[in-house]
Amino acid sequence: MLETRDLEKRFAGLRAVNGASLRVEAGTITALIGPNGSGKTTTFDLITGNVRPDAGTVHFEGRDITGLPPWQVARLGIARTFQLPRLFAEMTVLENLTAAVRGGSLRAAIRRALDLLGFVGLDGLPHAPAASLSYGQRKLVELARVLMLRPRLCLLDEPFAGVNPTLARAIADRLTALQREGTTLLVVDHDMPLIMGLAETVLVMDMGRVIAAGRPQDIRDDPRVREAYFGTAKH
Amino acid sequence: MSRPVPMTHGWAVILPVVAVVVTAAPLVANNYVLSVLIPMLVFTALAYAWNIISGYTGYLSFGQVTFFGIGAYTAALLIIRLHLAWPLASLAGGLLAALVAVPLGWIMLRLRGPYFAIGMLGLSRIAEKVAFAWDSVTDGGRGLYLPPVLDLRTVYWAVTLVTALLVGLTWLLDNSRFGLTLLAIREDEGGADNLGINTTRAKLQAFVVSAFFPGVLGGIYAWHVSYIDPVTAFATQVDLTAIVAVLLGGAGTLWGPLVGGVTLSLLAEFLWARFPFVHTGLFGGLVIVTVLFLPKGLVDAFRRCGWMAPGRTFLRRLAAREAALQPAPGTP
Repeated sequence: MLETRDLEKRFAGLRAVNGASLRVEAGTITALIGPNGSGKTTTFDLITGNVRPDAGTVHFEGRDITGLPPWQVARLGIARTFQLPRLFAEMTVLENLTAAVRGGSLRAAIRRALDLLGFVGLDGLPHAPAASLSYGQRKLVELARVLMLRPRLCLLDEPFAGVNPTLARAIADRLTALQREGTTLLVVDHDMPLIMGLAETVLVMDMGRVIAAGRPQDIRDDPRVREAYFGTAKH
Repeated sequence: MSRPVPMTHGWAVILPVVAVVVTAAPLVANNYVLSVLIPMLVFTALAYAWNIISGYTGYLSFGQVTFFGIGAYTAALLIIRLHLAWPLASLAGGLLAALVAVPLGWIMLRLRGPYFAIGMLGLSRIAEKVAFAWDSVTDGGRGLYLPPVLDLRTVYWAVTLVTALLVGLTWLLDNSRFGLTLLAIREDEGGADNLGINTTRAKLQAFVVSAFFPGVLGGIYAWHVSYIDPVTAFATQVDLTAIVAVLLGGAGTLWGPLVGGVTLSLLAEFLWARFPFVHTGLFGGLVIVTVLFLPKGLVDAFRRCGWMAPGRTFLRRLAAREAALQPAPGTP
């Protein structure tokens, strides 16, 4: 469904992404893990058009989308959330969701927004100003907001970071529900037990490239992965 | 299927009454009253136009007077050279202003924050210099003379109509997805971009609307005062008055420009009549006090006191009605 080939991005001499190639199969939950600074978020930025690659290509459903602006990528069916939720602070929760959708009637958009708020468990808050929400609630609203776009592929940047374990569990359940509905998910996170339980495929990044890909149980035992996280393994 | 959401009873009564009073006012008001009301309405309308690009979209412009001046010169020339009727000349002024705004907006809206604000100010200064230098068309610093207008009532009705149109347009904006799109751009343009919003196009549309109405008003103004020159047509004062009106009333709100424009005009008139020597100083002081204590404007203060309903009530009512219906099964 999604394939990147040899993506490269340098920032002032720093090779943030250095030949990253990855594949995400339709209908799966794929995890993208790696130490801090390994290039995960930059890879998201390259796929979604927030950053233009210096080299390499991005293909989505067979179509070359390399270098398209973010709004076009979003309209093609790829939605993303951010490490720190980026809600429209001075707007209400409902307005945040309604602003995200095009086509159809305003009434249908509001209907969908209310349904999605129910889906993430925030039924009671449509008119709360976004600025008044807790961090965890903002993460949920941001998830609901990207779902307004009916994306076929969701890129989620650290959906479990900074939320309490109960909420993390609840978010994980929502992601599984989404997958059942046919949405493909690519998830960056550091919560290993949660992400290993969730994903069918795990991609590991280090130093700007994908160094391993496989099933969670294989990845866990891969010496290259251990080395990336903990330095040279001693036996 | 989609029944119209009923207007609340208050508005069904208030709107016709206001319409009748406002329309009939010049039949009883004398020329002094009209000479106070006309600038009040002009600045309120300019405030509404500025509110779209700057209040809703968040692109603070210190140069919308560029379009006021373009409208004024276009209408003046059409009236003088082609003897066109003033309504048509003013409309043409607005259309040319909107046309010019397309390439200008395309370039200027790449700038953000203070760079856009200063860039627009610079643009209005350039426009003024062009009006000075383009002697063969504008008569340079000598200015253009038009046939005098003796009946202020027609002027009053003209600016009332433009103001009413802008209030209606802002109501539509305030309760539409396009309005939400503009607010999203104001809050986080990159975030809006990632939600599939073509921010370049939305900003440009807002900018063009915010240029069209000052163009029309510039045309009416030129016809009304029957003399324009580069300094008055492109006066920074025109922008500043509209901006202060919006900030006083509440940026990005439906009633902010009206509340701000009316308050500001009445205040200025009162101070001028009562304290003829220090009125500008007092006025400046009051503006500072207001901005310090009511940074979000009077409308926000009224809302917190419960005197005014929160914004975008139509969306709320629509949501309340949808929520009352059976929730759709199967969520995402």
